[in-house]
Amino acid sequence: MRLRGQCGRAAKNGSVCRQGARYYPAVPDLRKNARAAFVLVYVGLQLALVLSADARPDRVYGFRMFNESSSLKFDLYRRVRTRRGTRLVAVRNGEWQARTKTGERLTFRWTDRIRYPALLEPGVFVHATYGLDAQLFRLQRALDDVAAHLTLDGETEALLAKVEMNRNGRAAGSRELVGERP
Amino acid sequence: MIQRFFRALELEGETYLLGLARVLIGALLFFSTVKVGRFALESGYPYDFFHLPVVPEALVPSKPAYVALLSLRALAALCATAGFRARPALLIAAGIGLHLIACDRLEYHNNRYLLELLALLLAFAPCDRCFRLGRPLPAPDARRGPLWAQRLMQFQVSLVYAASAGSKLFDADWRGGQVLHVRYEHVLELAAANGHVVPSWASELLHAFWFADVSSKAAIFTELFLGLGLWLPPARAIALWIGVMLHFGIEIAAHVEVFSFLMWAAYVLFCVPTLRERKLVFDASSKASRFAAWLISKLDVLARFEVVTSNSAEGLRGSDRDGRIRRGIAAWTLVARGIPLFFPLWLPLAGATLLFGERAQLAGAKAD
Repeated sequence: MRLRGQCGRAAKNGSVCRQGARYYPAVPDLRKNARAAFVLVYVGLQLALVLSADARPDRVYGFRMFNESSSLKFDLYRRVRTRRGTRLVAVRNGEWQARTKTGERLTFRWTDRIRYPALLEPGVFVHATYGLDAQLFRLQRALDDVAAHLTLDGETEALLAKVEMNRNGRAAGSRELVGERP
Repeated sequence: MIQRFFRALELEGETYLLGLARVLIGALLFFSTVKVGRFALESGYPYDFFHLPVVPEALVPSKPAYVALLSLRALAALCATAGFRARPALLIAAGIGLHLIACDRLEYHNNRYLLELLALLLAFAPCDRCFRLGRPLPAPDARRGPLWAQRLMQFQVSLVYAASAGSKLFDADWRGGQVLHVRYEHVLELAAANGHVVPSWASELLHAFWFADVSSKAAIFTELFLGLGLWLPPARAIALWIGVMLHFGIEIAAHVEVFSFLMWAAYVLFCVPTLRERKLVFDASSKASRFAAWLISKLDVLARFEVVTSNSAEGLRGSDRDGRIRRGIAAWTLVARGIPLFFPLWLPLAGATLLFGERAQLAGAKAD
């Protein structure tokens, strides 16, 4: 049987080619120096990602399994403009009504954009996957995202989340996050 | 040092276990792709909603491209499992998987990331010589190949344990038991909410802070031991046993997607890459013994044993790598050590052998 692809090179190296064996041109059969470079780059990259995991709020690529038993609850508000300035309006059940610039009244929902389970339900304590910092980071970016997509909402200037936190079973204070419309 | 490094890169050996790992990891790739696809079918194209890409938004696939990528990944995973152009298939599946993880860090999970990394490294290993659908196992010298990528996969597995243990060790709440204490309380609350009755002794234990404290330290020590012990030949079997049981516990208690199955598949790569070094001799005159011989030869997926039947054998007789002959419970300990399905029994059997005597002839006699 005709041997194809890497087999020719492997045979030269005194490796495994035999009559009857059939090899495809496997992309990644590396020579000695390429193997060394690959190993060094791979190991260096993985170590760098693991050691720098704390620099990323959600610890991605860091193998920080089950790092906290923290939880978080947020209540959602809108900052709307009135004749007397601006005021905060609570968002009930994750939805609100607002007028468009043409005066039409529309219903907007938090879940129109948010599908991430731990951010779905305002007003309920949920487990902070990969830790409190990770969940705060996601919530901030979620507020930014929803605010940026309120193109039809002619009233809301910004979305606010008042956050209560528990870090590993202990109260960890509260925070206020704001997602401004661009 | 540099010479040793380069020598290690040229090390060659049996690739049977790499082939087995390829089948298992390919299957996991397929199932994880199907799971993502089903979720997308139920909830819609994920990037229409809030997502957090690591890569620039322009690199996030459009809806048709997403469907095409998932389909290609599923096909590549099947090819990898079946052994059809397995290495390029693994490279494609892992590349797509890593890219999709980078397209939305909300969907990042350590087990998914590890699956992609192991698939990627496996593509650089000669994992395509054995376990090809419809083809017999090649001759032993055709199965030999470079093992440097297998070493890299072993490093990756150890790094996972070391990174996890290290982060817990340097966290006072974890080290001191607070994290697990809250977790245990939550488990009890969940059980009560779902109407499950927890025995009072278990409830008291889970409420006790000392138990969380001890189990935290045990968890950290276990992960550290796994990270290191898998590399040390005298400790490897014990490390593998502890790892198998740890992931069994994780699978039952937490059910973390494909994590436990992935680690069990990766453990295959830590087995000695030499086949049938141990011998089991069964009594050919006994029907039960012949059946046991047949069953063990079928369950011996790691190809640890040469299984034979002999009229002169009385009961089971096994011989280990070093040629030492074992009989009775010691022989069954040998079986449990080499057969994955029975491996959870290995340490209890080894303990029983030590306690009750192994009826083994340890005089150094070679098995016939």
